[in-house]
Parts: sequence; structure tokens; C-alpha cells
Amino acid sequence: MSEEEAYEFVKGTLKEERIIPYKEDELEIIKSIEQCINCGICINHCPVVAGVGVDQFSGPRSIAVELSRSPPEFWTTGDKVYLCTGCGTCREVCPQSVNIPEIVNMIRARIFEHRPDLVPKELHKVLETIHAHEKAFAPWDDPEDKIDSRDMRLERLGLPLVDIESKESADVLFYPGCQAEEMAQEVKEAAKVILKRFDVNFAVLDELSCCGLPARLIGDEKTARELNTSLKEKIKSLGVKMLVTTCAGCTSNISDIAVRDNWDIPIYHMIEYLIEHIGIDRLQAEMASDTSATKITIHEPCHLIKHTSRQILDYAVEILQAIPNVEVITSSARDSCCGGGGMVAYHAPSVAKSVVGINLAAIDATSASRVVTPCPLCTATLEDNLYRSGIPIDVDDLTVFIATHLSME
Amino acid sequence: MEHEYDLAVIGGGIAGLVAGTIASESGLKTILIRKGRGATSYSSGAIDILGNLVESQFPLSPIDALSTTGVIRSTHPYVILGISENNREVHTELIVQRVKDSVKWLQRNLDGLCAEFTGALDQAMEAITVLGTTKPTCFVQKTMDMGNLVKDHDDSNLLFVDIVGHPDFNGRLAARTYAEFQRYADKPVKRVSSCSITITPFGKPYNISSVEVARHLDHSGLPKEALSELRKNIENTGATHVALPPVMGIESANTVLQEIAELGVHPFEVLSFPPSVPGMRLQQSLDAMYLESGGQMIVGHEVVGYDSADDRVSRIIAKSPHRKMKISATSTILATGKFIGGGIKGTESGFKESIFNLDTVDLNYNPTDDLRPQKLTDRVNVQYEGHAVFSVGVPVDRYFRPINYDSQVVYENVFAAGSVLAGYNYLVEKSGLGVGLTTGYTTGLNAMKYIKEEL
Ligand SMILES: Cc1cc2nc3c(=O)[nH]c(=O)nc-3n(C[C@H](O)[C@H](O)[C@H](O)COP(=O)(O)OP(=O)(O)OC[C@H]3O[C@@H](n4cnc5c(N)ncnc54)[C@H](O)[C@@H]3O)c2cc1C
Ligand code: SF4
Ligand code: SF4
Repeated sequence: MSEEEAYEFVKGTLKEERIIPYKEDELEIIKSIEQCINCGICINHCPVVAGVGVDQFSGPRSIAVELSRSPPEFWTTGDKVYLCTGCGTCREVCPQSVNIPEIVNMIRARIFEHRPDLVPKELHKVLETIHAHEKAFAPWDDPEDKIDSRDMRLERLGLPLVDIESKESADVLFYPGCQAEEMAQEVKEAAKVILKRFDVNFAVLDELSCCGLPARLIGDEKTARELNTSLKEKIKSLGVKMLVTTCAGCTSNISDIAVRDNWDIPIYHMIEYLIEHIGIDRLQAEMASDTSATKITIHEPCHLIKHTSRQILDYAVEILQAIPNVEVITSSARDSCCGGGGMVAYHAPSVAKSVVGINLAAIDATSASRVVTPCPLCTATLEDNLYRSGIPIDVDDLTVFIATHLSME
Repeated sequence: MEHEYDLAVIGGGIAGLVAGTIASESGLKTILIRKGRGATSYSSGAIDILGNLVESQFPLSPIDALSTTGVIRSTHPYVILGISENNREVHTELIVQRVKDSVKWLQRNLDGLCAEFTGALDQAMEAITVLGTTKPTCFVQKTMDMGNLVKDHDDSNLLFVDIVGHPDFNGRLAARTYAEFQRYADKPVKRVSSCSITITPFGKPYNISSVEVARHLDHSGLPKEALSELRKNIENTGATHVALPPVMGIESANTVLQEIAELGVHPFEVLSFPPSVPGMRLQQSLDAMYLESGGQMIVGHEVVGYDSADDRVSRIIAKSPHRKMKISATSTILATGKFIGGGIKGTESGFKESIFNLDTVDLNYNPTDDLRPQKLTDRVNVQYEGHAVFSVGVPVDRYFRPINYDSQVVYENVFAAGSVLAGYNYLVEKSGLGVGLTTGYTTGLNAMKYIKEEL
């Protein structure tokens, strides 16, 4: 057998042996795992370990030195790796920057491929929705209801509805992400209000499709990459110069794939866009001065701080401090995962609840009357859990908070 | 966007945080960039100043040891502290004075925080570890204060207490080792025994990690059952001192120990292994100290590049998972640690400093740029001098500015502090955090002088 033939032969047996070869862009992740020195620092900081203990979730060190080292029997680790919220705390404290959240995605992809029966069934349901609609949430049965819901939200917030006249030759694509497109519509509308106020030439997609993060987190790498390609084509056909989003998960995921797949445009979270392109002075000049005094505390989404850059939250504070009558109070768990990540809440709600418990206690201990966070998913998670725990503190998406504090035109 | 600062500190272990605090409390606009946790987070809860000298073969008190360093080796960071401004000679009193100053400063700054520490420079301390062995050190966290255990050894009766299902500390093993050790001790304690208590953070008495216990105790205090188990065992053994695993709380360990003290004993925690709760307390307290001083900190960013002009570093570039930050600062402090922190990298082809590609040297300032790391380890056994690899780092001038093999200052506005420095072997000397603290303190002051054009 020639070397060529031997190679083809071996490749042919991989499926049978349940081995998925690593893609070129995954090699860096594999190399980072090899750097683990087994020190255990990550265990001390993992929010899931803090929430449920190492007996239920063996923690990031175990992922680095055990669970990622068992090809092709990755499936044996399913009960653990699907409990990681992908928050990235471990990677941030790790002296070797071991890329645990990404290796978790890779292990999940291998379980999904060979033993889909071991993937939590709630996640298969989400995939059904994604396959049917290219979005992580099913569209409204009656489009009129969606419009009613949007208008109600706008009315409650006192925000106008912004029409986009023309999207020919727009500079900026505003991409709200699935959550703000279907559920938290006020976030999408608030962003439009802000962009319009600063005369930004922006467009939105006629048919929003998912950035692929949920599919990737579930382990359906194929669907994730299809969604990535589809989104890239839509954006390329618009010819925009940059993408602005209000979702933390979209920011980090699209930043990632945009580099991997050569999109050649920069990706911004709204906060970054406001600071770096609009400028704090222009922003400050548009803020209302007659609002009532509010004490707020900030929740920092993992996908912004630990997956994109902590700098973004420094910007967020800068913006909030520029709004008159707003006092920012720091919560001791401000940068702790809200439990909404990694699709954990879908199939292990008790684990997600233990994780968010840390945030709730810390928020409750502040004297703030409101939590502000630059992510619609964190907003929903915190809002729901604060309400269920009987803590009378409201939650606002930061984009909404900014829009509602603009002066009247 | 360009971010402008007076001082940029690269690295957030003890050296970087101390240097940053010094600068920022005196009004400099300071930013500290950290890619992850380093050796400071691993440390055991003891702040070593100088336990033994490689050359001395027998233990000395830190002050005596410090006074001897100058005579023995000119390249030790402590010795560099002792170089006088006036005649450029090493003065032992200056070394001692600078160490005293920085220790006093840190003690004041950590007062009331969870890593508050106790001890004295003129007294060697033999702190007990999780293995039941002892290690020479100088300061320990307040929760690790052994009281009069050794002083009143004739009456001391030590009880090692472990937690059922917590694999990081085995009280029986530690007790056996410690008892064995007493045969060689100048002042053996009267009796050593052990027992177990039950603390179940998640309701199960098995597979419990240290941090879980610590958080649980912070949150709910010592369970009544554990306290009564302890009481029973203290009565049975007549214990006067109780040695506990170093997990008695992150924030509230002092309160928990106080409760145990009410049983009529002196309780203390032993020194930790990584993953270390005391290391976490130290890191957390140092972070708090720095932030309190008004300094800015950006974690999750790795410095990956820089621009230089006219022998000065004009800008550094820090990378997070998906962004880059450009920081220009008048002065930069390199406090990136050694192999664990990531400041020094050893590869097949030799050792290099990892950001500025600075020259590296060993204990006696001999070049190590083309030495394979294996050459500096002893494969057969660990010698008393330890593995030479631990003393590899960057050589510096008297202001702690990195120099090259021709003894020229590389960048006039870059200073180095902590374990990125060459010329000492913290592992055998027991001087890790001490060197980090004192060189951090001094480079903080030096960078300040540079910025104010007084250097
Ligand atoms: C297991 C262990 C136990 C120890 N126990 C003790 C003890 O009990 N007592 C004692 O006195 N000493 C002890 N030591 C030694 C002591 O901990 C170290 O000498 C000391 O902490 C070094 O501090 P440092 O600030 O120089 O470096 P580190 O604490 O290692 O910090 C280096 C920092 O630099 C950052 N960094 C590195 N490169 C970059 C980059 N490119 N960009 C951004 N940031 C970067 C790292 O992320 C890290 O935050 C111990 C060491 C170890 C390994
Ligand atoms: S990504 Fe977050 S939840 Fe997952 S192992 Fe790391 S710290 Fe834990
Ligand atoms: S992943 Fe990083 S922090 Fe965790 S054990 Fe490995 S080296 Fe240590």
C-alpha cells in the first residue's frame, strides 16, 4: 500500500472508530490544552464548581487533564461537559491561558456526532427550531402579535419606533441577534433609536439568521458553520463596512468567525461603537438632564468581558457615568456568570439556578434599584431569577437604558 | 484607540500589584495588565523573606540572612536593593532597611483584609505544611499563626484535624510526619494526634474541594456538628493547639477560628498546596489594595508586542480573546513572573524573556540564552542548592532596569520586579514573595522618580 493509499484507508476508518480529525482552526485550542500544568487555580474560580461542587461538575481542571483526553470515548464525559456554562472564567485566571470553553465545544461536537442520544434532549429541541427557522427562537405564530408586543414594549419605555428608510449603501449593519429580534424587541428598537440619533447610516437584515453560537454550544458544528456561511453571504451582499450588535454572545461569536472566515469587517458591540465612533462627548450632549436619580449596578456579560475584552465594560461604565443623575454601585459578583451561558439552563435548570444564586445575593446586597447589563440574554436571565426570588430590583439592557435616557429631540 | 498612562505595569502578581499601588497612591495614572494568575495565587499562605541562603547550609533568621547576602553574592535582588545612591556600594543596613520599609508598608495595606499577616523579621518561623513537614518562613497569614506551640513545647499538645472526604489534607498522615519530625526538633512538642470532622458543602461527605469548604464556611459558618466533633476530640486528647487545613474560609477564616478558640485551644491553619485558598486570599487582598489606590486594572489581556524609539518603550500592545489595546506609558514595569507567570520561557534553544526578548542569565549572571533548560536541572536528585533553572531571569542595573549581556540598560524607562529577575533561587532560599514585595516596592518608587525626571 502506498503512503497515499494508507492515508485514505485510515481516513475511511475514522468514522467507524468514532474519531473526528481536528480542523486547521482547532489546532491552537488543542495546543493550549497541552499546556495545562494541573495547578487547579481554575477550580477556585469556576462559577459552576462554586454553585454545585466538584462532585457534580468536576470542573475546568478535570476538563483539561481528563475529559479532553479520552478520544474516541468523549461520550463518557457528556454528563459533565454539558454543565459548563462556557463563561471563560477558567481561561482568564489560568496561568497558561488553557482554552477550556473552546475545548468543551469541541468535545460536545464529538459527542453530538457519534452519540447524539447522549446530548440532552432539550438541546435537540432547540436545534429543531434552529433548523426550521435559522433562529434560536421560533417566530411568532401571528406576526401581528409580534408587532403588538413590540409596540407595547416601546410604549412602556416611552421610545419611538424608528423606520429605516433606505438601506442602500449603509455603512453599518445593526445585528440584534435572535433574542432581541424575537423576544427582547425593545433592545433592537432602542439600538435603532440610538443609531438614528447620531445620524448613523445603518441597515438591518430583512431576514435575520442566527450567528450560530447556540448550535456550536450544543455541539452541532455542521449547523453552526452553515449558519456562519449564510450570515457572511447576507452581510457581504449588503456591502456594509462594519457590524454593530447589542448582544454579548453575538459580539464574541461573530468576532471569532469573522476572523476565522475572513469577513474583513470589524465587529463591535454597541458600547464600543458609541465610545470609539460616536465619542463620549457627543453622547453626553444628547443625554437628558431631567431624569430622576437612579442607583444602578452593572452585570458584566461573560461573552463581553471574558470572551471579547474587559475594556468594553470600562467603556460601559464611562457611558453610564456620563448620564446625569445615575449613580453606579459595584456588586461583588458583577463579573460572575449569570448561569445563562453554555445552553445549561435548557437542560439543567437547577445547575443554572445555583450559578445565578451567587449574582442574586450580591445584587441584593447593593443599594441599587436597577441592574443594567449590555446583553439581552443576561437581562432575561437576571430578570427572571430576581423576580422568582422575590427581589424587587429591575433589570435593563444597557442599550435600552441609554436610549431611554436620551433627551427629547 | 490609544490609551495613555504615566505607568503601565505588566503582570499582576505580588510584584506588579505592589509596584502599581506605590505609583498610583502617589497620584500617577497607572494601568496594570494581567493575562492570568501567576505564582502569587499558588503561594501557600507564608510570605518568605529569606529562609536559607544557598551557600549557608543552615537556617538563619531573615535579618541575619539578609545581612549575609551582600557578602556572598552581588547579583541577588536583595543586594541590588542595598546599593547606595552616593557611593554605589552595597550597604547591608540599606538592604535591611528597604526590606523593613516594604514589609511595614504591605502590613499596613493588608490590615483588615483576608490576607492580613503576622510575624517578625528577626525571627525565623518553622511553619507546618499540609504534609506535616515544616518550612522556614517569616510571615504567615493571621489564620496560620501557631501561637506558642513551639515556645511552650513542653506543654503543647497538637491535634491535626481534617475534613471527611476532603482529599487535600490528611490529618493522620500529617500528624505522623510531624511526630516523626519531633524526634529531631530542638523543642519537640509533647503530644501529636489527629481526628476528622464533617463539613459537607453540598450535602455529601466525599469528593470535596478546598474552595468549596472555604466558601461554605464564609457563607454558613462552622456547622454545629463539626464544632461538637471538635470539642469531643479536644477533650479526649487534651489538645492545646489545633492544626486545620488551610480552607477555613476565604473572607471569614478569622471568625471561624475564633469560634474554635472558644473551645480553649489555639487553632491555626497549616500551609497550603495549590490550588491554594490562602493564595487566593493573598491575590484577592493585593488586588483590592491596588484598586483602592485608584489604579486601573485590565485582566484577561496579554501583552504581545511593543514599539520602541530612542531606547525607550513608547507603547505596549495587549491582546484579549478578540480585541487589541494600545497603551502608551511614560514608564513600564515588567512584573511577569518566571515560568508559571510566563515572564521567562525556556525552550529547546534556550531561555528568553517573553515580551521584550531580553537577555536572560542565571544565579551568577551567566548567559542562559542558548542553554537547554534540562542542563540547569539535576535529573538524579535534588541538591541542596536546588535546580539552577529556578534562578534564571533577567539581569538588571541598580535601578532594576534590564540590562543586556554587555551590561547596557536596554530601555531607560523599563523596570523589572519579582520573579522575572535573575540572581536568586526562591525555591531553596525561601524568598519568593519577599523578593516580589521588595522589588515591586522599589521599582514602583524608581519608575515614579523616572516619570518625575528625578532618576
Ligand atoms: C507552588 C508555589 C508555592 C509557593 N509558595 C510560596 C510561599 O509560600 N511563600 C513565598 O514567599 N513564596 C512562594 N512561592 C514563590 C512566590 O509565589 C513567587 O516567587 C512570587 O509570587 C512571584 O511573584 P511575581 O509577582 O513576580 O510573579 P507572578 O505571581 O507569577 O505574577 C506574574 C504575573 O504576570 C502576568 N503576565 C505574565 N506575562 C504576561 C503578559 N505577557 N501580559 C500580561 N500579563 C502577563 C501573569 O499572568 C501573572 O499575573 C511559591 C511558588 C509556587 C510556584
Ligand atoms: S468555562 Fe466557566 S463554567 Fe466552564 S469550566 Fe470554565 S469556569 Fe467553569
Ligand atoms: S487549566 Fe489552567 S488553571 Fe486549570 S489546572 Fe490547567 S493550567 Fe491550571
